[in-house]
Amino acid sequence: MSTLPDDSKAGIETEARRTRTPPAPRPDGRTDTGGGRNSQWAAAKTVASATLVVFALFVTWGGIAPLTEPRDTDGYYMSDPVVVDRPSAAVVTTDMDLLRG
Amino acid sequence: MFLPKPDDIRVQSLGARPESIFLGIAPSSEVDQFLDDVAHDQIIEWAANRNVLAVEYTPQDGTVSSAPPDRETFWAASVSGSGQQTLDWTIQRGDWTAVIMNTDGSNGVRAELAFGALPQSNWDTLHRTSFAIGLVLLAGGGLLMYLGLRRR
Repeated sequence: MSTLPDDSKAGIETEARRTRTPPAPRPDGRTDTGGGRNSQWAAAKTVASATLVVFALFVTWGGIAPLTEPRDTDGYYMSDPVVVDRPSAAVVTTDMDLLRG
Repeated sequence: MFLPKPDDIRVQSLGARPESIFLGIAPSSEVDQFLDDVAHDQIIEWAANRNVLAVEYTPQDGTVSSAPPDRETFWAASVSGSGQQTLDWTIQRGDWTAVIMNTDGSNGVRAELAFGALPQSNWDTLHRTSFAIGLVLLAGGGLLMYLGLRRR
């Protein structure tokens, strides 16, 4: 257990601050205060928030769009009418994916 | 619209034609046998062009007349009659063929058709949940953006 008095601890901390390497001077003579890094972080957060908003718009639209498509009274999604007019005896289809169980 | 495999499909004959029309769905092997050497047209492509559904056919030649289709017993689902007819069918495993004919099997098939699909029962719940999650994310994202821009 440490037996150093509180004053001594404060002295060590002050010494450490004193011996910290100062930031290298910028070519333009101004002092680098770290503000650039902060503004980059803020910009990154704004971009992330905007990305979240765009993603949320997709999820919202994906949820609401199918529910607004017109359906018949039994809940079926119906195609537009198509006229089938052929001289033969039958018209057949296996082309609808739905018919392949 | 993209629809995952639905529970049921619907084939509907519209219009008020006096002629009687037959709609049926049966295993493909049974239909092939039934229409063997009977002139018929196979739909090979459905294409939507400017909201109009266009159909392409492959004609199959034949030399014999068809028997009336509603006398056959192999249909998994069928309806016939004049005026609007609605055929509903619950999707099953296997290869199936949908058939449109005159009820008496005569040549000259003319019908105005619409096709429908009933989505699976959890379809609405899934999309309502997606909508709710989207709204929550939208509110959260909007709030974060507002806070981020306000601090600048």
